[in-house]
Amino acid sequence: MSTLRRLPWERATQLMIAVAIFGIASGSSSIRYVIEHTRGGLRWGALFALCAVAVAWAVAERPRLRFVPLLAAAAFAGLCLDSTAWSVEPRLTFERTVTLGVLLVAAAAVAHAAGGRSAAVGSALLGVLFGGVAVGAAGLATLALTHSNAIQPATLAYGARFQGYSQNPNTLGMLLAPATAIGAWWLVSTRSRGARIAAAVCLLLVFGELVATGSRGSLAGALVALLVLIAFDRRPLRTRALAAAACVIVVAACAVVTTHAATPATTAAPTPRPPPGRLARDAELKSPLGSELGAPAPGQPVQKRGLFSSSGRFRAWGGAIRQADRRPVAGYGFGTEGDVFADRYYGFDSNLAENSYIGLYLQLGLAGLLLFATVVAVLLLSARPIRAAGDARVAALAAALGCLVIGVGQSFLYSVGATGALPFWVCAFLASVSAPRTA
Amino acid sequence: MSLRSAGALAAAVLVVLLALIPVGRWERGRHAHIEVRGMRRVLMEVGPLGSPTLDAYRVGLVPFDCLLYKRGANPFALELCIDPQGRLVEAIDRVSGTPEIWSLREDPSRSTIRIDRGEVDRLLRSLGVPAHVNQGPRGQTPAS
Repeated sequence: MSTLRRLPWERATQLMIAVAIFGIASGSSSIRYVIEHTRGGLRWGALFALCAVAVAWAVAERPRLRFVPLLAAAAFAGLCLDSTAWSVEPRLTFERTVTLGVLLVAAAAVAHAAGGRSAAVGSALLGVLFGGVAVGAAGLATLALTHSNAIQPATLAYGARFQGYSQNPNTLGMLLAPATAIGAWWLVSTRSRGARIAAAVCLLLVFGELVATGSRGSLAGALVALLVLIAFDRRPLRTRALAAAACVIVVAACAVVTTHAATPATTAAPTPRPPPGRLARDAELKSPLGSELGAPAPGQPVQKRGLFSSSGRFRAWGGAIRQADRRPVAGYGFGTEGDVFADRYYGFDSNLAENSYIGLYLQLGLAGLLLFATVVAVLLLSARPIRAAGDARVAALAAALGCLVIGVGQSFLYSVGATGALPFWVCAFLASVSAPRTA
Repeated sequence: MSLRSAGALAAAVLVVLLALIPVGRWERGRHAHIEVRGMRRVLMEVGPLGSPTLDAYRVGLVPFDCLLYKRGANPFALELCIDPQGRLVEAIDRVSGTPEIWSLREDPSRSTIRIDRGEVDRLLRSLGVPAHVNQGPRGQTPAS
């Protein structure tokens, strides 16, 4: 197929990846008006449109089907669907399975269509970057127009953090971390001066906002992705070692600065006080069920968030694992993590376990963990990026590995409504495409 | 991989997925049984719902309310949480200091322990819960 004929599909897919990312971010935006007007529309509409365009591109390219990755992904989606039979929320499980299935089909179609052409792989990756840039730019607009929406306020334990257009700082971080890796790859691989300037601007925006989120897991994910990029670079070992050291120092410095610059509040936000005498026996006022476990004894100081503190995650993970152990083989049903996980942990504020692997154990048991590991292994172990200038698969592999690192601190890899899921699956499939050849 | 090998692999995967259905259902039933047994034990420990040890409550915990009973110096030693249909969905025993939690809050329909919801509402009122609390639809976040 001629380059001229395939270009519209390639460009359309790139555009739709960016639009789908922006649509998904809009479905859980920090601006309530946007959620109410886009939740069911833009988010899922853009995802289905991306799937249609990607499949059309793949059909036009007539690639050779690669059965093993497809079968592994289909088996994982099949298990999700299977779990409607024992789910605590069968309808929710079915709906979540459908959206994950659409995403997997879209990602597989993009990878098959891009085939071994590095330019096509790079084009799809730039779609992910542009999606991140769009959300980042919307975050700056939110900051300028409605400051309170863009900033998560400080509490006694946490300093204020930037969330921009996203639901919270962590959901913004899980998108910007892979975008940072792709931006860095674009910057060092492009030859055109204009493209290099554009790449630098995009990288500055996504990395700058990533630092401002104060999301330590996302920063760690971005660092791992950058180190993978450096590891596969063609430059001499000494140059790469210096670049790696520079990355570690910059990211660590950014993490330290944001942790210390964002000072916690000195007084708690005012809470409504009940009239004297009434509600005196309300246990929730004295010992809230949602923060019972691990609460400091009366008179003990509030533990503040530090660079290496867990924000209550370790306790929550232990609790989630104990819950999952009660249904260890098949779990409670795909997509039910928010319903099943009970947050009873002091300092932890989420209805999810905030660990993709424990979350998956909770939803699909050991069977789900095993199948997910198989899919990821099949995709990433088949990735054999070469140290050629501009091999876009390196960036895809780096971004996917970065997402897997972020998954340790966030539940999102299988949740299509989370902003990091689409970048992860698209990058993971793109990393697995066959050896590059010139367009 | 040949088409034939891929087909065989796909068939094997399908068999495993089908075999997981009875396993998943069995786990669901066993889990519910264990939780119900634990909740029943706490319920027996409490005794009559209107016992003089009834000391506190929780309401507005969509979609269930709780009654708390004191033991010794601990005013929240035993806790029973009941949903609007009168199903016991969670029970907590804090007598030993470390909470022992039995819960089916994620799957309340599996609870086989029924409690007179009218009596629960009456006890809540007697503890000072305002009359308008719990009116309207449950299980939904109120619009702000």
